[in-house]
Order: sequence, then structure tokens, then C-alpha cells
Amino acid sequence: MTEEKKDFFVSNISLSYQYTAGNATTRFLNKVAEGKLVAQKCPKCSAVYVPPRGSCPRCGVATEEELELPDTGAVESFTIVHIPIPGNPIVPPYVSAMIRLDGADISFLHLIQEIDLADIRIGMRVQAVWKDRSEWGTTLENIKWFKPTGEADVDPSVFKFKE
Amino acid sequence: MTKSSDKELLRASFKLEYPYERSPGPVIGKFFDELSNEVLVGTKNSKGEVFVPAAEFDPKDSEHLSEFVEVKNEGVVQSYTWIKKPRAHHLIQESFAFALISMEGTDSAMLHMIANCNENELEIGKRVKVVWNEEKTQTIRDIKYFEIIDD
Repeated sequence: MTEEKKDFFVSNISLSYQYTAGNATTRFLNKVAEGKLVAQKCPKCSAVYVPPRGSCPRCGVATEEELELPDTGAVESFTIVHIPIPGNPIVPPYVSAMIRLDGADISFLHLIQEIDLADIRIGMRVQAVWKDRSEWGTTLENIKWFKPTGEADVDPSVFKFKE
Repeated sequence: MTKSSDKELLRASFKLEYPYERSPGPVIGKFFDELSNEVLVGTKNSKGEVFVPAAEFDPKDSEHLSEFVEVKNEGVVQSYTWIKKPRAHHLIQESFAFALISMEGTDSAMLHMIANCNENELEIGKRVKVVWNEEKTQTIRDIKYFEIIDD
């Protein structure tokens, strides 16, 4: 029960669980721990997946070929978050974005900072800002956030999944 | 996440939690307040039926209930589930039972725990009494558990 608000009490709903990364994600995160973003390529349709999941969801075949991607890409989609989430250390407003690394055919969710919120747009070029190497672990949090590079925007048609 | 060799899979413990605050309202609020005085209160409807925990509305005909009555801290087991091996989140770490207990003189049952007994001592119809928690928080936890009354 909270002291300050006698008429209310905290009644959190929680679930503790153990997450097992699996082969593909384990390999990916072990490379992230070395500062590398390693994708997997589908042997049939050549789609490049990062983070890799070990198979191509379109062709249903295992993906084994690995290739390192740069830490630059473009904003495929974004949300400006204004409402604080309890327990989240990031202070709103901030940008949550789907980021398409150069050479990848899918995007992943990360933060964008060092930006004027009015400037954020689809197609904006961004680059990863890494934590100090001494703080790296097997987590995508090694990348603090992405920041704009100032280069010309990419045409959003590049985000279309290649047939 | 812990780092392991290439052959080992990474594993990590996570906790998914929804922060949630609730107001008990005037009736359950009074029930909780009185628990911290080691008193159990219920509400009475116009037919004279008593509900413990205190209910704000009659569960059958939705009558608004506001008459509080004090009840004895003894009741009867209506049904129970025996928890042989409590898990980490349980408040009691030895074997215990979750039970529906109908307090004496009431027409309802409340969910709580029965401890300090063996599985073979517990049966439907057993009389049990409240064991109070020394530390009061004005929550249902002010009742530590129930225990069997030795006849």
C-alpha cells in the first residue's frame, strides 16, 4: 500500500520467465557483443534478415549464410512516444523507430535520439551510436540509439519487400 | 544476458510486469480498514443475509448494501485446493491450502489460505479460525492464514 495515497494500493500483475535465445539469435547476439551486426541470407530468395531467426519465413528454408551489415540504415517507420511507461528509464517524448539497415530486407525496433522531433521522417538516414566498448554485452542495447547522419533521404519504395 | 561459448545458447531471466494500482472503494475499503483492527466486517442485505468479505452490491439482486455487521473470526471450509509445493510467489512456503471459507453467520464465502496442518487433516466442513498478521497493511494480508480449530 502506498503511504501517500491511502485509498489506493499497488497490485502489480507480473510474470517471471526464462528466455532461451535459440541458435540464430545466440549467434547474432554473440557477434553484437563484438560490435558486429551479422545477418543471414536466404539461399532461395536471397532476402537478408537482421536480426536473423535461422530460417526464411517466406521460403520455409534454413538460412545459414551469414554476412556482416554496416551500422547505418534508414527509418522505415516511427512513433513519437509521449506517454511515460512506468519503469521505463527513457524520458518522453522520444522516438521509437523501425530501422532498416543498409543491405537488410527487414527492419528492427530501436530508439532515435540526437534529433529534433519535428525532423523525424520515413526515409531519414541514421547511424548507430554505440556504448563504450567496455559496456558491451550480448544485447542490442550495446547500441544506445540511432542518430541522423544528415545524408539525403532514401526513397521509401526501397522498403518494399523484394519479390 | 550472460555470455556463453558459441555452442551454448544464451538464456536470460525476464519479468513482465504491469504496474497496477487500485482503489478498493468505500465498502471493501472499510473491510480492509477493519482487518487492521483485527475485526471482520460484512454487509447485510434487506433479507438479513450477510456477505463477508463485505460486498457493495447483493450478488443476486444487485441491492445496494451499506449496513455493516461484525462477524466472528471463525468459519467453515466450503472447498479447498491443496498446494503441496508452494512456488516462489506464494506467501506461505510450506504446504498449505487455498480455500473458500464461509465465516460463521454469513451467506457467502471468501478465498484465503489454510496453513499449519497436514493434507489429511483438512476436509470440507472443517472449522477454521483467523490467524492475524502482526504487521498490518490494511489489505487482505492482514489475515496471515486460517488454521483448523481443534475440537
